[in-house]
Amino acid sequence: MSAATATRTKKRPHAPHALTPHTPDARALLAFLGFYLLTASGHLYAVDEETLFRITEGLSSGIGRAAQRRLGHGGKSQRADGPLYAQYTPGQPLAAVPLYLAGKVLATRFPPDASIYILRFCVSLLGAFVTAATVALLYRFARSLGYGGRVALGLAMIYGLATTAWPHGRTFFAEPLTALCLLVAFYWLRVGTETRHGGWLIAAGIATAAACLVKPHAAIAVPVLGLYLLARVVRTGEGANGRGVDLTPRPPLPRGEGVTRSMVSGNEGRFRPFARSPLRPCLAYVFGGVLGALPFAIYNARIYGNPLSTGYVAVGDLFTTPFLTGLYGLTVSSGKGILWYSPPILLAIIGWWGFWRRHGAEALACLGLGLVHLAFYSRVAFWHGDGSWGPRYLTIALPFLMLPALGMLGAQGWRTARLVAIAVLVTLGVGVQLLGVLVNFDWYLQRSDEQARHFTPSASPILAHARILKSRADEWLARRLPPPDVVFLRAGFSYAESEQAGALFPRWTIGAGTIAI
Amino acid sequence: MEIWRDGTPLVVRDKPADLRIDPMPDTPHWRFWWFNSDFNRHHLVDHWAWYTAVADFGTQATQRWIASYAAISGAILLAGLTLGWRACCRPGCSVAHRAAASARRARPHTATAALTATSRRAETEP
Repeated sequence: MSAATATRTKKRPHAPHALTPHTPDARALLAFLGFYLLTASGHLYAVDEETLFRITEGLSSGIGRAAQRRLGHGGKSQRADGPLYAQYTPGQPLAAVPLYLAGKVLATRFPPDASIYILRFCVSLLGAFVTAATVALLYRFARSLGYGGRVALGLAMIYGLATTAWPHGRTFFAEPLTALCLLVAFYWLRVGTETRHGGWLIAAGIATAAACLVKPHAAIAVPVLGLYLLARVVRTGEGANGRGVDLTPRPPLPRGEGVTRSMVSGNEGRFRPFARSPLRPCLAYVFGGVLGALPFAIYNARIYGNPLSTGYVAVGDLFTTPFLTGLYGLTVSSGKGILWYSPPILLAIIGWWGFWRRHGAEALACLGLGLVHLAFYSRVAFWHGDGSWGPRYLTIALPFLMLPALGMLGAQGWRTARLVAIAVLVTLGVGVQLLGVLVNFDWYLQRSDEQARHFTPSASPILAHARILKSRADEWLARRLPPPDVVFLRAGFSYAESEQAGALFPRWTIGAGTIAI
Repeated sequence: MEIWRDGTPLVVRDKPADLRIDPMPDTPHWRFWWFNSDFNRHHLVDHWAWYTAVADFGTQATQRWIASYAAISGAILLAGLTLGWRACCRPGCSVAHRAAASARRARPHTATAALTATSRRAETEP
């Protein structure tokens, strides 16, 4: 009997199922990908994105690097008289290479002068793929934590439609991909410690390194992910008495909607030996990280002369904003506060306690990742990451900030009040995102003062975009459906040449003049 | 110039300057500002279909581009929604099937059960 028991004890739980079109997360991925592609803008918004596009172009052409001196963008050089290279790391451009190549093929079917537009259009769609993948992964993560399909889908939809993930997914900035890489690492750390497969932990290490390859600032998440791994290993590890160690006493889970059998039956890694030594999983994670960081180090050494040097400025020049200014700006300021731009974040704040009671390590990791990003970017000179909708840099922490909303979505009791709160916050969130999607955020940026835009409620981009949208709709409606007694010179007329100010005629026609009646 | 309708003179107005959108420029620099500058041209919305419609690519190319892109992305969206809908409405989602599946899940996981049994034995053994 003991031999049979030992054999069965050694049997590992199944690894997560593969992503096929029949899995629910693949369906979410497809649906959101289609939605994001349909609502894309198809162009680049900032000079940073143009720089990233040029690097993509360079990598696709086999050059492997992109000199940016002629563009006048920020960058760094190995020597004082050497070429100036873009400050951005090659992760995002590498990910965009397939889209660039697809654009190249597509451009052959259009007139030659359209290729500039087609290439940028295709590359700008990377955000749609990345954000859809993040939505699907959030769904899968929620399911792996034991929540029901409706609750998991609710979280995924809230993240995908009612937070700034949607507007940011229309840009070519590096933050959405960084967030995806970190979320993948977080998920694989959980899977690795749950299934006791070292391969998942190595993969998590590679995903963490990939996040740093996309945006070096992602390194601030590494200590939190490391602590999460340690907590999981200690919790699931083998104690001296041969039994598992559970650090946090957890109350019995309520059964009902949002709580599935796998949560209740203790499929939480309790009393499950991980390995002889908790050091081994940690080493596997570190090994994966080193493996993933190696190409990055070689790239840095080749371009900047030092494996640890990136194109970004020295750390001392980076932190120039007073902490409280940045903290206020990123959280509750009228122009950039995450509470206004992603109202469902309140669900996560309220639900965190319930989430912690069920998933202590995950809740603490999410909190840690959110706080680390908040603290870091509060001090950064360009804390607002402007040229974006809401706090751009917090996009990296957004999936982690939203995950504890499961505690609210899957809670029992106060059903009506809970549903009303969720409905109100989600409606507000979708409305705010629509303003960021329908109106180009550069339009207001160019005609407003930075301080007022960030800190004066009446000058908030949310209100300004609503005003712009209304005025555009009125303008175009008046042109399309003019008053009955008015006709417009629609096309084919040159400028008026009268000496009287405001007189419409005389003027030449360019070919045939068209009058709309 | 005078224009009349049914004996009533109509007011002739120039098209608002901001609503005259010039064709999409050829160089990357001016294309960038064609999308992102609001001072001398007022795009209705920040959407790919709008930009394509006003870019003056020619009627045929514009229609082809809008139709093909919308068809592909719409098909992806519909595929995701259809698969998701079918998953929700398949027989396995009926109340009876859910109850049966719930009963099956109620049986403890093999590996977990074995581990729990081992732990209990370790607790009871002297």
